[in-house]
Amino acid sequence: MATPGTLTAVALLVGGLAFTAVAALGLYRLPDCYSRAHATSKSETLGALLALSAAGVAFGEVTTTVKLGALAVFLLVTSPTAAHAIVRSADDQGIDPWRRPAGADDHEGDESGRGPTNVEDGTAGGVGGGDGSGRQPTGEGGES
Amino acid sequence: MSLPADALVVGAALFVSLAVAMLGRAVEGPTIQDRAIAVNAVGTVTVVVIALVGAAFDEPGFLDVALTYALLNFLLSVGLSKVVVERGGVL
Repeated sequence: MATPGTLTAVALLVGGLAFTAVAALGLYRLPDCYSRAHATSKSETLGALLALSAAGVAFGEVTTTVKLGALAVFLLVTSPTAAHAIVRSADDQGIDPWRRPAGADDHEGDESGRGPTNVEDGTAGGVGGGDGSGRQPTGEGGES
Repeated sequence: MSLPADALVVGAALFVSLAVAMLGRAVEGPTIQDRAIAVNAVGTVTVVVIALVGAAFDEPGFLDVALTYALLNFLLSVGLSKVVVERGGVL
């Protein structure tokens, strides 16, 4: 049987799973700790709020709903705050944000081996060297 | 009352699998901040899983555990980001 409460809980749970899957994908694929924090702090928070709403609908009592509401408000406040603190510590450490490589004009150049946190060059202007990779345009194979 | 319980348990299992996928970034993150962000995300998923399991087994006491876990998760992130910088200028 499918009561409206059950359908609502399942729909909210599927929505929360979808947004959390987006957060996991962004955490795995994005090239930088700043953009990873961007992925998790927003999408993860929304997915957690939807899943907590599903739990509240499944409980269906007053005290548990109030407690889950407090938990949702706490997560809504603290999850972006924690991400902001971590990212600010990264900025205080002098980690440069990821920039698009000079030769790449398409979306093929986002392999995770190249992107993150090149602290050692420190130029951050994009003028040095240029074609340091020197890859041929035919060589779009699987190496990385 | 068995269909929502089953759905909640299956959803909690899927959340756990997503958390395992997020732990890959915590393993291979190049910087401390990547690992901290990944651990923070896994902690948020853990809070959700605790709440969902409490809803599936109809035990309201799990929500107190979830609240405490959320508090500790936030404290871990802020404390770690203050320790890493060692200057204390964060937040």
